[in-house]
Amino acid sequence: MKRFFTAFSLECKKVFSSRGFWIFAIVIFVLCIIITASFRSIGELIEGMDDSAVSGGGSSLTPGEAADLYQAQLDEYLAAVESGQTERKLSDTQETYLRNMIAICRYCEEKGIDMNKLVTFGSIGSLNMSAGDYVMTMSQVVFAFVAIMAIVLAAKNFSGEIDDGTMRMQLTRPIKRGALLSAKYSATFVASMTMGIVFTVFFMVVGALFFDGASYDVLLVDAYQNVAIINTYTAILLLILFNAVLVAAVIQFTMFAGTFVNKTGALAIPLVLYLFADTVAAFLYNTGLPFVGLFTNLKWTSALTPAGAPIRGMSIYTMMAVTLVWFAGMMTVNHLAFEKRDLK
Amino acid sequence: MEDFCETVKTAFGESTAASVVDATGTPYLSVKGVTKVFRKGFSRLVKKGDGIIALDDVSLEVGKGEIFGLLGPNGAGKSTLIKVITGLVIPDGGNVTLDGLDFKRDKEKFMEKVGAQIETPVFFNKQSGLWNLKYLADLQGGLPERRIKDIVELVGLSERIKSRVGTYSMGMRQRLGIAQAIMHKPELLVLDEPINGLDPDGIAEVRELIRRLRDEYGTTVLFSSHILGEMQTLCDRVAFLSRGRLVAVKTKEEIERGLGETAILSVVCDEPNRAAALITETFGYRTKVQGTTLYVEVKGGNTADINKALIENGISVVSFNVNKRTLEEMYKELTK
Repeated sequence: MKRFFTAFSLECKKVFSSRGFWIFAIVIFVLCIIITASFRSIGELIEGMDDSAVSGGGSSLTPGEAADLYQAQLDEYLAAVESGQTERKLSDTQETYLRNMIAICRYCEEKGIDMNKLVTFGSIGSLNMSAGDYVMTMSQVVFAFVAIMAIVLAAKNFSGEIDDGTMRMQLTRPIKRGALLSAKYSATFVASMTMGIVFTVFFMVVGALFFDGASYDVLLVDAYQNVAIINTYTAILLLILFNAVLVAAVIQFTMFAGTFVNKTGALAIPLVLYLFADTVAAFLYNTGLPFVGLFTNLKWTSALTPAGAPIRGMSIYTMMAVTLVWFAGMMTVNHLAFEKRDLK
Repeated sequence: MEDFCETVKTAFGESTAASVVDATGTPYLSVKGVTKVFRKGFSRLVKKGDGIIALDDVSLEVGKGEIFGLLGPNGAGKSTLIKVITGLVIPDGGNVTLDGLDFKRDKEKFMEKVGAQIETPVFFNKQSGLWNLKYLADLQGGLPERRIKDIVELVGLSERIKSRVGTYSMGMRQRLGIAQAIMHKPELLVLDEPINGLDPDGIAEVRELIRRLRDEYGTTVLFSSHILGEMQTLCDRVAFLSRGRLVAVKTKEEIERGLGETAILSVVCDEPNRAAALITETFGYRTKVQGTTLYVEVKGGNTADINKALIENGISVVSFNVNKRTLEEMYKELTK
């Protein structure tokens, strides 16, 4: 354990002092400034316009009326399919969307909540952006980049070191392979999360200074159409937590790949998987398989959006459990494979 | 060289009689039945199927305080054996123990006693030599600054230690490689081709360093080299490897005797054919006649007796040359 902590602190020093880490930090920072400036200019543009224009295209329907409308739509499609018009069958995503919207409207009707004052984050186009909406939107953007950075750092610190021979030098020290692997893994994770969290805090400050201070509540809905309303700060914490799982997963996958292939492969495979995970997930979802593959776990933070959980028939909590089991299994395989790996 | 000896003393402290152990003592490092086949793809995981046999049932024992050499042509398995001993290559079968510690069970304790430099030393090129040494020292469990400074002085890198390793020459990398291998005073020093790229001064210093570490600090040294002369002068014993097999282990005395034992005698005389028959009959040596020259393969005998026998039998000897076998010839013979 002592050796793990020594190796961990050394790896942290190495990662935090690496050029790649700071290049990513600067790129993300510049990008965020540009996006923030564009939000502000939109905000200034719409200032002074009438209320209906800045309420996000707010509907005049009450939540109950909206729910009835969605329900009628859904019933119509279901009835059509039952009467033999199979071509009108909704895709799983469409059906889930309708069911979610019905659940959300009913929930708002019951609780007397104004639907126009809810945040469905990730929607950058929102005009009446509150500080909370800004923080969550920006944080999500940053974590998307942080995950890419995590892949690059993991490939460099693991398979890169195997390829260039520096791993050989490290392993002739009295440290177990498993401990060194865990140290590299943890250091990459800590560095990536630090970047994400520091930027999130930065956005909170920017949000408080330059955006509407009202912190709107955030709406969650899972695959069973369970609806919950949480406040902005809880949502930010959840966002960080879910992104931590995403970052952990991509690092783990990169190191796993690095045990078998060279640095280029260990960089390319997770990057392609990460960038196309949404497409893969949607494809698998629409194939109607009972269990839609674990690729979706790479981007399961989308479970927080009203579109619902990407894995059919699973609540967010089941997904979290599945991810943890998957994660532990992959870690074990990764350790075993690295233990058996020859370092030529 | 006197200055160098002083630097060794500064870096390693005064030698103690207790640390000097007889080379003929009980086995300190023991390699038993180590087998390794390099396979590709899935068969690598299941350890079945065809592949390149790198080590085939290799067993050897090294005594405490011994300087043990590994000799063999390229691809003989020297580096693989060294990597198995340092845990970088996982053997398919067999085990390695050091001072009673099994590598598989006590890797950390095992490696605490080992200092190794494997093949071309590789470091973090964008960092300085000092950064690299400190990094590896911390991974080792930490070493005082003073000690690292002494070691740097010992290997002659004081002037460039703060420069980036990427700017180092091959010889400087070797010196840094040796520094990282010896900085924690290992009990077993494993060096794979340690004198590659070194200038003659550097080679002499490494030779002197190895000798002093053994003589004064009882360090056991296992090293591989292509330079046969180096093996002959430095090693107590040499293992000859060929195509993954251990073909022979010879002590320094055996090598010297072996080299002295066989000699090729070239005799120019008036009746070479009669001389050949006489030598074969009297001594039983193999002979070959080419023109007026007679070649005799002499094994362990006294060449003067042959000269005497020829003269006594009335054969006029014009010239009489004795060519002793070189280590290179011995190496070729053992590893062919």
